[in-house]
Amino acid sequence: MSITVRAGAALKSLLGGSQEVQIDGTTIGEVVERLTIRERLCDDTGKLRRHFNIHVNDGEDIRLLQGLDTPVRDGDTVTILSAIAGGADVARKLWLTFSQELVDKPLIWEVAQKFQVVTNIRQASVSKDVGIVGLELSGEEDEVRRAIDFFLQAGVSVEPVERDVME
Amino acid sequence: MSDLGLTEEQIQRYSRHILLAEVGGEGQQELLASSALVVGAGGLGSPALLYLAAAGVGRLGVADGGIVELSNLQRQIIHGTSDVGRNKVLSAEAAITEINPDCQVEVFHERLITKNISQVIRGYDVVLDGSDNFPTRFLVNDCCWFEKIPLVSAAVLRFEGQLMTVLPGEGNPCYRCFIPEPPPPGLVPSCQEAGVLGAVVGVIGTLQAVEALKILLGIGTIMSHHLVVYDAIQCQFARLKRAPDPACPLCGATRTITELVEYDFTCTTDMERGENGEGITSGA
Ligand SMILES: [Zn+2]
Repeated sequence: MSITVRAGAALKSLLGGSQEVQIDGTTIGEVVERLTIRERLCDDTGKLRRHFNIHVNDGEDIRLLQGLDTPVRDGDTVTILSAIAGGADVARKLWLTFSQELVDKPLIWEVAQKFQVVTNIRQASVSKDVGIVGLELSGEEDEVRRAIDFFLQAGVSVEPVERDVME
Repeated sequence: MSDLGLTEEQIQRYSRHILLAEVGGEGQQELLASSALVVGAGGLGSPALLYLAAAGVGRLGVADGGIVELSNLQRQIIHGTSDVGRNKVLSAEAAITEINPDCQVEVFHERLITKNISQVIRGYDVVLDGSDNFPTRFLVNDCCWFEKIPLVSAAVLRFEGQLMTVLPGEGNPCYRCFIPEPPPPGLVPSCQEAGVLGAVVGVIGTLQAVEALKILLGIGTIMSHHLVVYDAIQCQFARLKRAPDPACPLCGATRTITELVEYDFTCTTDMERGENGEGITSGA
């Protein structure tokens, strides 16, 4: 016996592409730790990111219970969901501006390695002082979001492309 | 007119409703005197509208700013091949009128925004949200909450459907209790047409119609404290409990949202077409 963890359709990549996995644990926190998905589910302060909802069996969102300390028992089903609104994979077109100290770093390559996103450079103008790149990122919404966070944390300026600009 | 207050034709038309103890002639009269607004005449809105029309809901509103496209027809069953290129609301209106002339149809060929939504929604007994983007979903939730109108909200992605009902008033969780804000800035999900099995949208849109009819008739258990999750692959329905979130920005104790707010509407489909949003489009 063990815990069954299920992920909603919007979170297919969360469990490595499976919709359901089995794991042992006595609390949600432990389950999350063992699945090595804490970084994805929680923010820097360790709090569950608000757009995820976790339910044990048919119970309420664990936020309204004991959060990550909510106990689980053998045979329980843990469902991790995020709200959906129609649509599936997203494609975001962005202007990335790399400052002088970032211009020679292979950040786009890194993003493609680290996250399950497809990177497609649509336009670029790079000198030794500055790089401006029109980049399309596509993949699951959550992965695309993480990729953009990575750029922002690296110090890249990220702006959405206005309509019409790149087509 | 019979003593049921229905014409002979109506008694025949609605006989299978009238035979139900939970509906009866009285319930049927209630439906004929009631109204429902469907936001999005797409994948979810199609079956919902067809069943609400067939059920004899007296006044049906349809809000959608889109145009019927060939790629819609795989799931948006209210529209037909000859409707391609036509306004979705007009195509839907024609189908509804053909099914049931008892239904008075009101069409809103526009994207719902803070400026127009209250005018559109006000006066309806129930709202069904089948829109395909978060900005519209939040707007519809907030507006229904302020206007105190029950909302049946549903969405489908790939093989998964989600459905919840939001009843207005203290003690009832709203949509924002489930997700308080659209996903982080600059990343509002696209309304890109995406992979989805048409019949799965049909299941969920039909469930929406059932919930709305139960609300109008005042019968049964309403999904106001549950989230229904349908997994078509496993053929599993889960009913997960929902409760008001004390930290909810709309209905919580320390609420911060006291008027309608508009979120950016950026959509890949728009970019690719190089035109402004068609707004409420496919409903998955
Ligand atoms: Zn709420």
